[in-house]
Amino acid sequence: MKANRNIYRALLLVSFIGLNICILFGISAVWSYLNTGADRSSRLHLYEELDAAYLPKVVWEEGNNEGRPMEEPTLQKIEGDYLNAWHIRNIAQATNAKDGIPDFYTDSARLKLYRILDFNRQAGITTKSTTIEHHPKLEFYSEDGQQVVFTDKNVYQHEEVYLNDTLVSKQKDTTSYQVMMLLEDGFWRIRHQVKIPSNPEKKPTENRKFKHSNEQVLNQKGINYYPQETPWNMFGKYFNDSIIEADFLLMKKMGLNTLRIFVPYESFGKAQILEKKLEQLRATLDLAKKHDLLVVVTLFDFYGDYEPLDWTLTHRHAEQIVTTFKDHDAIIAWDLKNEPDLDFESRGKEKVLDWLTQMTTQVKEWDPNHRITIGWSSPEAATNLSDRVDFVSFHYYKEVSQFRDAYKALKEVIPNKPLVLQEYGYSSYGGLWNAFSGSSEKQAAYYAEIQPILHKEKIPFILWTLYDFEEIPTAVVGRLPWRKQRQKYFGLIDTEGNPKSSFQLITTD
Amino acid sequence: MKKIIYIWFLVLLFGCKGTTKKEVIQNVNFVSLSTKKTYKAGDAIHLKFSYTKSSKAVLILKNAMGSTALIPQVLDKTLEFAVPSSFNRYAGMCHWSLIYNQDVVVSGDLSILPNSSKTHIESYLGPRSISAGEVDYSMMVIAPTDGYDNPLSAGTEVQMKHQFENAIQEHTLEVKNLLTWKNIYAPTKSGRILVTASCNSTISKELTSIVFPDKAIDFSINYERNHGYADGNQMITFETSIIYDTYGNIISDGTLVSFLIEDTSGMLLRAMGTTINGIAKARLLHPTKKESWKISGYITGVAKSNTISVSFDAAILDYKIGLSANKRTVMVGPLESFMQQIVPDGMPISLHIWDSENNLLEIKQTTSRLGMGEFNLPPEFFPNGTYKITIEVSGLKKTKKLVLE
Repeated sequence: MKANRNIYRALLLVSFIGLNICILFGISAVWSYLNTGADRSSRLHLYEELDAAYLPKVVWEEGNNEGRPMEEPTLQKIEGDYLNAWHIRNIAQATNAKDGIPDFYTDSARLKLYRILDFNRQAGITTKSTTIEHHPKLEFYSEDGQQVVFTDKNVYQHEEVYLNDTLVSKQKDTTSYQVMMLLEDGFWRIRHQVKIPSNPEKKPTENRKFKHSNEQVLNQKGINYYPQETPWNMFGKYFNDSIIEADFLLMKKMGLNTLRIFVPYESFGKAQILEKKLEQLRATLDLAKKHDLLVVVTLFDFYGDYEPLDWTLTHRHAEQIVTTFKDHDAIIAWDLKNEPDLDFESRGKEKVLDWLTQMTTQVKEWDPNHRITIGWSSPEAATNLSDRVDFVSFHYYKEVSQFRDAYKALKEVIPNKPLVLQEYGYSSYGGLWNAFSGSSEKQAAYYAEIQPILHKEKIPFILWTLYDFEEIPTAVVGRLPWRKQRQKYFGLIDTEGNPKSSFQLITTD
Repeated sequence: MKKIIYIWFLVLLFGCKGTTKKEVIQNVNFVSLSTKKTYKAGDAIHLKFSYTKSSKAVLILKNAMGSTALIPQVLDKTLEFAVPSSFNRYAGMCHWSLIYNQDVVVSGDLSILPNSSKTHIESYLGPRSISAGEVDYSMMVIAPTDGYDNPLSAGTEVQMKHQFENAIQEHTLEVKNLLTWKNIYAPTKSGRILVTASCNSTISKELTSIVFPDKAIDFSINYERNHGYADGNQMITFETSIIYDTYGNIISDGTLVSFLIEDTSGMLLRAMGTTINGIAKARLLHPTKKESWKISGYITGVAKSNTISVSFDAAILDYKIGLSANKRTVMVGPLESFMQQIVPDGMPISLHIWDSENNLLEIKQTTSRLGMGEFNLPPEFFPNGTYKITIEVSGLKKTKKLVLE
């Protein structure tokens, strides 16, 4: 009885304490919930440095303007706000929403924009557009620095119009505008924008003089190159030029003359290229030159957006790299994108091709000294944009027996341009995931079969790859183990550093 | 086995499928029937096209603010597109293109002119405060628009008037680059300039620019005081002459003038005042001993005055020093001023005390109250012995030997 009572007491006490804990916890939860919310400083309209989201090429025309002489920082601010206005408007017209417009259009100007957005919303029309080049000329800057007028000449614009999400029209045009902007609470806002007749200047016809002869293109014998320890991660923290130099010496010793490297879009800093990475790329190219190797530089690795709203950022990315190395002797070609046809399904074929077409135009303009190509993933895909590239690159991972036919079919469609087998190879992986079917011997047999064909047909080749790799990043082939395992064993040299039988085959080749 | 690998190759690398091809255009033909190319903003615009075979065309319109697509009204043999108000009211070029199967079949430009039936005027004047003279100016910027908020065409005339005192000037300006502007130079007199503009009989609001006097020129100063004695009690007032700018305008109220005073020992004192009606005043307490001051006034970085001298006579000519019975209290006074009146309270009195080896032990300070000052020399600090003390009042020093026992 006594024990029982003690148990009751204890239970009562424990439940009382428990209840109190629950109540306290509840109060504190409510209290902390009421204390959450927007950061109080967000009430202030503080200036935030945003990542530039819209970077078309802007070249101000020199010349005197009426009124007050312009100050450089003000001009930069005007340019920034003007481009933001375009960006916000492009987004608004893609969605017919009005977000952000009040920041870049004055009260009366935004009404006119709203009218168009309202009309389009009701009619189910959306437009995706981007401008590629602006050539503004300052006309007037008021004495008190509050009003500015400029003529934005020959704005080169790409625009897609959708009716109920179906593309109805895709046009590029060149338009000139006269723009009046007012400085209101720290923002330059568009007050008037008037479309005026434009006289597009004829761009100088392509006057390109390549550094390398056609012979050199046709004579490419090479390797898709990553250092053994840092596959798909060559630049950055793990960049090691002595390893790269040793590999280059090895390739030279093997009798090869070309290598293909990859420049990842995001880790190179997107639109603002990281100076350090650019220096590492330069070091790599310099080493290649030192050892008399030619380099195919593949841009936009791991890029996959292609949306018109993203175009200008990719343009600035490519522009910085391409103009930096436009005089470099080691580069035989810019490969604009690795296997873009694999994005046809997920991103839309037209979108990818539009992006590539524009990119070919831009790169040719920035660098008249080097050829351009696109690394299509198959001979069938390589017919795309063949008129835009200087030589056609394709990859081949199918049966050797069908290679000759596939090549001939391609040659028939594109008889006048060099065709380069830019990636091919065989994985010596023999394990659980492919029922122990692969081996170094099979790899050697593959090369023994395909190399003579390449020689006979005089097909320039860049094989995949020099080394077996320990780790494959997930972004390359995804998470599936049978893909990852297979991808590890494409090398001519195994992870221990021992040459496989295929190594000798390529070397004596 | 090879087949399996082959399939995997396919899965890995050829995950794409073909896209549908466009319909082939077969003899469809569209011809624009609208010849009019220039419209006034707000005019109804109908674009007409004749067609054969297919009427499935859309019209893309593009102006400076955006683009849209229009579906035609299909009539017998013609397509008619009604341009919406968001486009026909917007002046400037408007590009149209007729699209069939995603291809442009016909295209052209409309030129939409501003509608002059109604005019609004936006005017901006700045900077709004300028200084008199021939250098500074305000800029009037006039951006006239039509009833649909379109900027008026280049060459449109705008009348601008500005008034200063009795003079009203009128100018005729022409719109260029969406606006027109005019610099209004400051007159040599300070005051207000009123500016207004009109265009197509619409008038703007009145804008004002204030003309402030230019920079001050050198000036003179003077002083005023109750008496010439250094009693440490009365105020001396320094005053500038009326300060003018180059053009004879009295400088702006509130201009800061500093008076720098150098005393006999070369020390600098400073007093400041701001101008009202061109005159700045500053006050300073009389010194406590015989002094001679040299005073100049400055408007820092702009103008300065002449230098004047002011002398003060000593107010206290003599005083007495008394000791208490135990000699440990030194009494100074009574201090008599220039009319033998007791000096106002607060006259500084100091005492220096040395020991027998002529080491300075302490400097004590006090101020007078009812003409008297007292110093205590407690035995804790000053043991019995021989000391030398010096009392100073109003620059008058007296030395005395003091034997404490």
